[in-house]
Amino acid sequence: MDFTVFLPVAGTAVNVFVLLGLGGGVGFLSGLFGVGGGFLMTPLLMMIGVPPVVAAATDSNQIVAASTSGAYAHARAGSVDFKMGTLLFSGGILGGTIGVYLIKLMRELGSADFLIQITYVVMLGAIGSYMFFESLDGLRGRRRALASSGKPSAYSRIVGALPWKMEFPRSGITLSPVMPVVLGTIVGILAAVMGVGGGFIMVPVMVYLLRMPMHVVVGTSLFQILFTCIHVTILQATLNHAVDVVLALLLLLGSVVGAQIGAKTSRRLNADQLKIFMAVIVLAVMLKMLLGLMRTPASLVSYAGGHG
Amino acid sequence: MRRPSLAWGAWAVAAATALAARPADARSPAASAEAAIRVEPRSIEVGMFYRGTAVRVEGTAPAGFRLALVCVGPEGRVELKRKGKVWNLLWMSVGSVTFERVPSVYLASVDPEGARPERPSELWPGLGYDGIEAQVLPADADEGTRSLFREFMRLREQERLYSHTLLRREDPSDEAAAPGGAVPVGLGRTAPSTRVWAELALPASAPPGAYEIRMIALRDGASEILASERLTVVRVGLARLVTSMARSHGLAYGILSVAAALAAGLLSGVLFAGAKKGH
Repeated sequence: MDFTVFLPVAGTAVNVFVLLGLGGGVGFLSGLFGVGGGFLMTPLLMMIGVPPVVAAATDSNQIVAASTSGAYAHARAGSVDFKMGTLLFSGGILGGTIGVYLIKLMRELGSADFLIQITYVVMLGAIGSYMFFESLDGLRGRRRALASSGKPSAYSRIVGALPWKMEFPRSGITLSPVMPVVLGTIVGILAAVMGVGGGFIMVPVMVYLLRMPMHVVVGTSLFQILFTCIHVTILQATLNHAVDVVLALLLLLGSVVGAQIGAKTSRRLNADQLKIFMAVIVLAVMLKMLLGLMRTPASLVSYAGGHG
Repeated sequence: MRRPSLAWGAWAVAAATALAARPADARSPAASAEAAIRVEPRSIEVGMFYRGTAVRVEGTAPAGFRLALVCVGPEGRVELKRKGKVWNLLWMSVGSVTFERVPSVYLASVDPEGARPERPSELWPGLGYDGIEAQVLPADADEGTRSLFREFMRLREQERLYSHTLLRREDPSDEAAAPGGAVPVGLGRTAPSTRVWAELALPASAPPGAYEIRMIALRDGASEILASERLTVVRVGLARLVTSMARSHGLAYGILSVAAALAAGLLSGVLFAGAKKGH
């Protein structure tokens, strides 16, 4: 029996089990680390013949399903900080809008793609390396003495000086709402400029700059990604007509199951184990991108559209 | 890149002329009156379980021609990213390029006569690709643009949207072997005819629209389209409904897609939570 299905918007035929497998794998990562997985899914879809613009747009739609499933599981376990997530998302919307205009300006000035890709590689390398070594120290029982010197850092002084202090009981922290809104805006700008959902930047921001506990970070990140991807899906469907609902449904069948298993697994791991796995994946993505930039491409042209 | 021989160069010029010309203008009345082409199927319905089709094309033509059967898809605009080396180290997109009037599909099945069967696609570069290049690029296009266009055609080959294969041929001298012997043509006359046929593999990614199947002949360095037929590719059923919704009602389609994703996500969450309780 043949299990090939035709994808009407992508305009190509693909085996059903390949799509279920892709969805399951990426959904697992999503539930485990609180990332959308677009960085992984979009190139994989392109490899099986889905046009870049359809791959990027449809990926957003399936992330809606995976993050709903993952966020629901985390919410039931009490590990979603809705207040923090809402503030981060508000900043993300503002940053995304600024980022879209910024990328337009950069394209007019030329060499935008070059800047985007280099920024991406450098940021992933820096974040991944820091997370890796920091969590390695944690696993070895040697926590870096960030604030143990007695003298608060410049960053801590700035955060402490911000007005309208607010309690975030779920995360167990007290800070000004200005912080998550500003950080959400910066992540939104970077996400728009780099053409990715931003989970990979948002998670380290929540861990290291907002000092949120890792288990709350994963759930809150999924909650925030859910709204970002709803926004992107509707925009892509309206402006580019590039969402393939058949492809999205097949991917999400796999990804919602994967996300549940990922969320379950994440609760079994401690914070340092989670961070070190995340760091390894971030560094692997960075290396893959770097190798991709250094190797002579199979073709000197590619179809326009999709993630940068 | 290997240079085509003079003979193939003649094919290139001839095929370019044939590609650009309208079939009716290019036909020689005498030859085309004795030529016929049959396409099976003539209409392809693309539903949810479609995965590509082999289109069988059969043609008859007066003896003495070298022949090609070509399937040309609807033309359109193609936007591409151009890759280049930055700092002599990193490969990345360094610009974009747009080509107009590019055939979405170009499947050529060419006469094996004189061809080296071990490398047929390399021996027939001039049949169609030079013709497409002549149609799409202006005559004064620089070498860089031409080189990018050839890269693009290689990309289309990888997608199986462009291809070159060898056709099957029976000449009048093969009459004893040919089923039915000489082929009846024209108004009841029977003349020595060459029969050619090919199976053109149309991939699932071939877009909907009106395709043209042409039988092109080359004799004494001149080209003519001896016969042509239409092939229609249409979306049907759910595939048609989804395509139409996505294009005509983008906002409603987007909201429905999000609603379906939210429902699936929540449902799986509830099911998993239920399963957990059950244990």
